Amino acid sequence: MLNIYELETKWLKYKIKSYIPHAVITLSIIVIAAIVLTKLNSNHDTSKTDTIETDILIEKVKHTEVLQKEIYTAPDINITSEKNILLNDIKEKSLIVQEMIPKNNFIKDKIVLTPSLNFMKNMQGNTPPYYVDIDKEEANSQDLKSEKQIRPKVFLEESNSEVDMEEVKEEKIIVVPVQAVKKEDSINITRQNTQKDISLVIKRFKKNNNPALSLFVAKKYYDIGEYRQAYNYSLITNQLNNNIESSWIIFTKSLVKLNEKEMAIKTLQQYIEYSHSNQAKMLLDEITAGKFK
Amino acid sequence: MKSSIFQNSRDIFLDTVNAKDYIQLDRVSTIYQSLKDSVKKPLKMILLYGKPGTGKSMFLTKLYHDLSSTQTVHLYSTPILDESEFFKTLAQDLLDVKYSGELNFTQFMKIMNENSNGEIYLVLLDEAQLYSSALMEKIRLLSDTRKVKFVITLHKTEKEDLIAKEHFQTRIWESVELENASSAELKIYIQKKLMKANCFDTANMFQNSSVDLIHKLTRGNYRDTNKLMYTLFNVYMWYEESNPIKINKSYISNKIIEMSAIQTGLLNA
Repeated sequence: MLNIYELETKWLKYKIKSYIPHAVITLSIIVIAAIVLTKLNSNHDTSKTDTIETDILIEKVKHTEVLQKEIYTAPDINITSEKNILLNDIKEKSLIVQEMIPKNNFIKDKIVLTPSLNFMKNMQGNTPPYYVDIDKEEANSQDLKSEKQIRPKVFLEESNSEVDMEEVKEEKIIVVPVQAVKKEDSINITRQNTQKDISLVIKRFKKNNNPALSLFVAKKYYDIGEYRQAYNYSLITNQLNNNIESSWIIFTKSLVKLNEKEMAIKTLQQYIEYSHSNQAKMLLDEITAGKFK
Repeated sequence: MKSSIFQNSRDIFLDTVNAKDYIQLDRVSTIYQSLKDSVKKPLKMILLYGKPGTGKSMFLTKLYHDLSSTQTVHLYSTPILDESEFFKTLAQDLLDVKYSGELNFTQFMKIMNENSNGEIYLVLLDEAQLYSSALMEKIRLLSDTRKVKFVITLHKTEKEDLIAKEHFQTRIWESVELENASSAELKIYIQKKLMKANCFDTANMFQNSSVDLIHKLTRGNYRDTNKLMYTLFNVYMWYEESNPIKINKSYISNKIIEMSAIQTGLLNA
């Protein structure tokens, strides 16, 4: 006699039993696959981090090289004889400073050194446009000369400082404090209007007979009270180019200073007739009124 | 009470050996024809062997049924293990000689020589592996007289192989091996059997997947298949009577096949 309920129960047990190996195999495959994938991922991550670290190292090396170059080629780096003392201090603090510099701030720490152009500003106030251009050229050339003079000096000082190249490399990283020191002790280069400078310009004027140079000399002589010389160079300027207003003004002013007031008035009147210069008119009024002596 | 289609189908698969229930399959038919041809040849002994349930008995029954109309054939489906009884039965059936008392091989040969009319008798012995070696040796000697031709069936086991080797190897002119059915053959077997009994509805319920599962469970063994099919339709009968919602009459459920296999012991639950 069939007992279907019992048979169904047996069948259910049989099905469960028959599925167990499949379930076990499937689970094993999933677990193995998961383990393999996890391992592969971890290997991939470590290789990634390795490459990232390598990249960082490469970046560091590149950055160090850039800093090294910047230090060697800095145009107005102002390393004085105090450098040895500074280097000693830096050597002592180098490790601490290295720790202080964050790894990711390499690009931020990059220093751009630009030449100081303060001396140009001083000159722009009292020179004619033409003269200013020439003066800029000269200043640039002088600046280049000064760079050329400074650079070897830096190398010489470094070579004499008996510091190994490795130590110098360490110094490169410490440019930040150096820059700070440099900013604090920065020197404003100002031109001194001495006779020596004037004589240098006169030499150049003798070479090329540029009226701008003779006018410059006349103005400088006038400024230092050498009215006779100011008169002579303004006269030369007028002979070379009789359309330069400031030259005529220096010329008449010098005449007044040399007690040749009548001659100065006469000259100004003739120039005003010729050029209708307002500045000349104002000066004539001042001279005739006795305001300019 | 009206019998259901499942009940009719179930009764078809009762494990009985009846020549009328013989199902013609292509491969089996070829084997059967070769066996019939071998019987007509002047051979002493024909061996039909195969695993249990491969249809040896059915083959022998079919052969008896087919040949008995044209010649004298004697089928012994049940082995006669006692030697005297065996020869006494042969004397009565073949020679129509009733012998009282013990009859040994020598006495039987004497009776045979006295009563033989020159006819060659055909004797079919089923389950010959049950005969003792001594009796099998005497059966061999009897076949050597060319007065009796034997067709014997053997189970193909190691022991039976040994028997075949020792007693019949040199005397067997023809041997036919029967094998389990393939999945396709099993489908034809089931469907033909059902259709033969006009159970077309249930015959159509057997799809390839169902027959594949049955073949997997029975390994194509006809006896196991019959058992399984009987139980299967028995289960269907129960569901039809008790819980008809649970069964689908358009196809045979794999669940019920497996339940039947558990019931018949083909599956260990």
